[in-house]
Amino acid sequence: MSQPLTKNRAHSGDTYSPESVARIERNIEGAFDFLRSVVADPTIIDRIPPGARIVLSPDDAPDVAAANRRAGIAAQQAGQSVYVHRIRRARVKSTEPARGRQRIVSSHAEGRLAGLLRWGRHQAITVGAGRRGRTQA
Amino acid sequence: MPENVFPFDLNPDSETATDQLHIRIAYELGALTDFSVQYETIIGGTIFVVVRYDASHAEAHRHLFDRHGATCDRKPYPNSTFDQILDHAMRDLKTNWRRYRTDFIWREGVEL
Repeated sequence: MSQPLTKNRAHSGDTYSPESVARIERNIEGAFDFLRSVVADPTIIDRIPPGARIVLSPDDAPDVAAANRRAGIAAQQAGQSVYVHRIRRARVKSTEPARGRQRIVSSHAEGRLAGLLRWGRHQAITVGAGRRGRTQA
Repeated sequence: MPENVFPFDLNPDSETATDQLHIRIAYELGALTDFSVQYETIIGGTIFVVVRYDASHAEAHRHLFDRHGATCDRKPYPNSTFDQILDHAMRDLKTNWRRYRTDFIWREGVEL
């Protein structure tokens, strides 16, 4: 039987500042990003010196990257190998078609589309006028 | 089978609270065969293993540990792919690491 986590217990004895909490959470994410990279390409491991310290350098969290780099530099000065894993900014996936393709389609159908819009506006005005006309009548 | 362990210091600038993540990766013939992600906290100079996600033994599972490093709870994740267990473990640890730590301290009566 799996033990559930408590929901309302205070984090007693914690000495974490909000900055520390944010940094830890970002580094957890970064460590998983590293693991994902290895899952995608296990040969990455061959490029890491044995016993090396992995320094996470997230592009979107410069303060976290700076803190990790400081620790990495200290480790290097102590004679430890260091491997920097850069985490690039996440690309936002869009469901819309590519901009270039959109342009081609719109330039081809621009005239027809503009015509339809004019027709639609014209129809709306006509219908509105008709209804108003009928109501008034 | 080559096996590699990578430690991550999660809070490198801190002097009071120290937390780390250990990632163990095993691969064979250029393909990943299993991995584990372990969250540890250092209290009073002692390293305590708190929780571990393990994708080995053909089934993914989560372990909770007591202060002596023995499993006190095991939750299986049957039929999970590496990707699914990775996603789940990341969300869970990112959201709940502090709660895991607090629960561990209460459960095990660790003096802070």
